[in-house]
Amino acid sequence: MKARTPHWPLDRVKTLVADGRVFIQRSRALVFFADREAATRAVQQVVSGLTPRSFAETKTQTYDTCDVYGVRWEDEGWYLKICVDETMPEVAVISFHPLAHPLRTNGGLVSPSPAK
Amino acid sequence: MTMKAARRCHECGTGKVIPVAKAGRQERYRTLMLEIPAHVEIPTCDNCGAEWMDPGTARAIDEALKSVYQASLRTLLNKALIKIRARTSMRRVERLLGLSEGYLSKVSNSRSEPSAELVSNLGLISMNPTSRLRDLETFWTLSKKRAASTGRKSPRPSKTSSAAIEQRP
Repeated sequence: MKARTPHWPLDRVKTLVADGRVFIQRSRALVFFADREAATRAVQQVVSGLTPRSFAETKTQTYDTCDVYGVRWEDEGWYLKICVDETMPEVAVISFHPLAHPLRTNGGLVSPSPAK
Repeated sequence: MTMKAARRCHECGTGKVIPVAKAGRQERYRTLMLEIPAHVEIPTCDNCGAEWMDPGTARAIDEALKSVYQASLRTLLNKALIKIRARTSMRRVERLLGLSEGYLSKVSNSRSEPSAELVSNLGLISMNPTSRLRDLETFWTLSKKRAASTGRKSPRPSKTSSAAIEQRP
């Protein structure tokens, strides 16, 4: 089965985030961290480690096309949904939170629970 | 002068994200839920109210909340110390928490910043000082006994083994 490819090129996403061009939604990302800088660092760390294997699916929303990734971070499965706003340009992190359910990615199933 | 266009909100898709400064916004910072100072601007959608953040805004908000947090820790510390002082000496508390003599007085008089860990410990003790301090003393006493018992790997040495030791060069 052919691997799915993200709508937003991963290199472009990583370059923007590494440059600090990232915009994070508070209610679905920041609340999981001790403070905002910790959340920003976590997003930058996770995005820098993304690979095509982490990619799950592209979701076409009313006004945006977003890419969803499933990653293992600090021993737990996390859900990441991003899109690129080329008018700024920057990466909008719409969701970054622990997985509620297992997520199928190109690399396999990412489960919410800590790895045994 | 050119003005950068406001961001479109990626949550609702229609609103514009603009900096908003107002009172009444709550945010968890470390261990506490705090009110963000009213002067701090947070990018907010003018349609759905979703709040956003970039690294620069994150730093600014955390800086503002840090001083609020430190002030809150000091208030909690002093409240705990009032309850504890009614029951016991500060010297006893310092000894059980492994603090240097006079440290609690220094922190209480703003000559040192209290850590969340210290405030947590004092907060727990203040809920029932007599009982909690007694538990702490029991904990350290048991720890000492455990350490002593694990250090002794065999029963008291017998005469035979003593003789064997004496034969060593």
